[in-house]
Amino acid sequence: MSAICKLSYLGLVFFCAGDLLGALLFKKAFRENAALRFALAYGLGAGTVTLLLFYLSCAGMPLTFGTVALCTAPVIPLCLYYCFMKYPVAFAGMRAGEKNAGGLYWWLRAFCVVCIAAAVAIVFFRALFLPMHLPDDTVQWCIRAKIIFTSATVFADEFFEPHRVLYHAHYPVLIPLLESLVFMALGEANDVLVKLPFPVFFAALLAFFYAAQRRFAPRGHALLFTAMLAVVPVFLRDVTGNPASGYADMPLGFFYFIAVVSLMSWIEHRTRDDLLLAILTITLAMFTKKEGVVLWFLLLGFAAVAVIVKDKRVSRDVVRLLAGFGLAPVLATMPWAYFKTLLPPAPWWEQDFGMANFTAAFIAPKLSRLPVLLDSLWRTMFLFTSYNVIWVLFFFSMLLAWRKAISLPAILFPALIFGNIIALLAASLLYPHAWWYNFAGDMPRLLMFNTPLLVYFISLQASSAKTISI
Amino acid sequence: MKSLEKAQKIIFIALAGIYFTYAAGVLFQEARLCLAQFRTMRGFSQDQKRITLLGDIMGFADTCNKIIPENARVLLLTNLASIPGSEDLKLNYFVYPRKLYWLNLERPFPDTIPDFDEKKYCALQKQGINWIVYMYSAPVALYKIVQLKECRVIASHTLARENGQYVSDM
Repeated sequence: MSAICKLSYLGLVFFCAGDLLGALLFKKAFRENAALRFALAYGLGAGTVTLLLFYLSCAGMPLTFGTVALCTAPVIPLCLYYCFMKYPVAFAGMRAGEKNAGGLYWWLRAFCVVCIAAAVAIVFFRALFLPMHLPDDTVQWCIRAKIIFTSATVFADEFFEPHRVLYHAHYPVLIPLLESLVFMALGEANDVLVKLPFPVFFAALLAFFYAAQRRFAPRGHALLFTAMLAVVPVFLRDVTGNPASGYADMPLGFFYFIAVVSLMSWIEHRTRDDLLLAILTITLAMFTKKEGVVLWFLLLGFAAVAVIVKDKRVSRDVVRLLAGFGLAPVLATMPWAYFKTLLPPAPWWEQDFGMANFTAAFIAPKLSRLPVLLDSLWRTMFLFTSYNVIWVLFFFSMLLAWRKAISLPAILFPALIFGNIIALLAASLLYPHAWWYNFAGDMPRLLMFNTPLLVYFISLQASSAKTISI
Repeated sequence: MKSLEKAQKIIFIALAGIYFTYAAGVLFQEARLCLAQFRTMRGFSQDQKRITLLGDIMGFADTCNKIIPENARVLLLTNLASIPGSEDLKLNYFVYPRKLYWLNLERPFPDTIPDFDEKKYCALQKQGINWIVYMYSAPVALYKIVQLKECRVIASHTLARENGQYVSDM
């Protein structure tokens, strides 16, 4: 089989596995439109196949294309039968009402579609024309993918040799495994085609973002804010973390955004499907990047408080939330936590957030960093080059419909965004070594996964909807 | 109250207008940049693209890949601290599957280059390390590849940078 056939097979497996998983878990939910179905099929498929690969390696199976093909072969016919016969792709059936569009509305929609298409085209071009050339995509993520591909296991000797330097070896392994899957399909470590999954994550994020808005807003509104998300400068420019690079920030942003929106929906409607989707996606976020754990913790805390406030008591739903959203992701990522204990200790410059660091004597000398960090934060948020006027729109939209902004569960969006900023500042402040200034320089990338939440909140505020539901 | 709401809506629309005006500019600029990249690099091999994007480090990695066999274990001596963005980590990526080993992780070597005698070469060879790469940037600026056999150096390639190119003197 040629490399392109194998790569196409892999792509098909991702979509079929995700769609099948969706059909088995959610039945008819989340399949009312093609955009939503595409986004979830790809995200859940790529995530769960990669997670499966990790479990297979833990069970001692060699990570080769043969193993992947053997384990995933039943997925395609099952998906074709179960998903497409039982739940065919729907292109209509939106919930929000449509305005009779004409004239100016038509031009506005056309402009939005052009913006989205141009942004997606730029991201795909960069990903598939340029080899990896930014710092972290090579030395942090793809080197581990090369090792897994070469040794056909996550337990490669190289991960355990103390004199091999592997930058952030303790970081989760979803991205290296996903990249190694591409290498397995190609039969070589090709660092151009390996970037293919990343722009697809970008396209899937836009599709999910559009579909999520369609539950409360008409098509024009959803298109406008999807276009707004697509053309954020940090996504378009060839800077660290952009969706065309092989960084983990885009997949993390994708999983995190779905987790937040579905958990918000669960707080509002308490349907099992929403909670299940939130659990699945936050688990994949935790398996994507170390920050995923911080995001999970913040989300769990804020959601628990929101449920208690909304119900005015500690109801059964709080227990459901803690048992499901609190415990299930920890159990699912436990093999990874065990794997990390086998690795040599992290190098000195990676050891941040140690409990020993939480002392006045440790923190006091580092307070002088605050002006530099706050200056960088201010510049990142409010200068055009990184985020355009998204943050200004975000703050202004809070004023625009302040009653809605402080109501549950909408208030969780600003709460999570500010929580993340505080966590980022704390990490930069407590970082024990001289390289802390990297945080200041990398601020646009570090705030990137908040972007979908920012635009979604602006969209929500600008809409006339009274409830959130995906 | 109604006039306040109206004013707020006008400001919101104005902000959205500013947003999309600037975004259209960014889109246009990035599309032009992509087109320029395509025109410049369309005939390039992937290695040539890497050299264009990453510069000198690719030249050194390329030389290492030509001289050192794929299954080799290599000692890397460097005055670079292995921190994010550092060139020793990039070299580690681009010469893979050649495995680089660092001698002192906690405190990288200062600008003085360590002396190795026969005993040390023997100790390295016992661990399967038959190659040493010296990667010293300013103020020393030494890029050298050394091959070991029977506890001594049997080949050495010092790379000098002339006219912006790396050339081997051996």
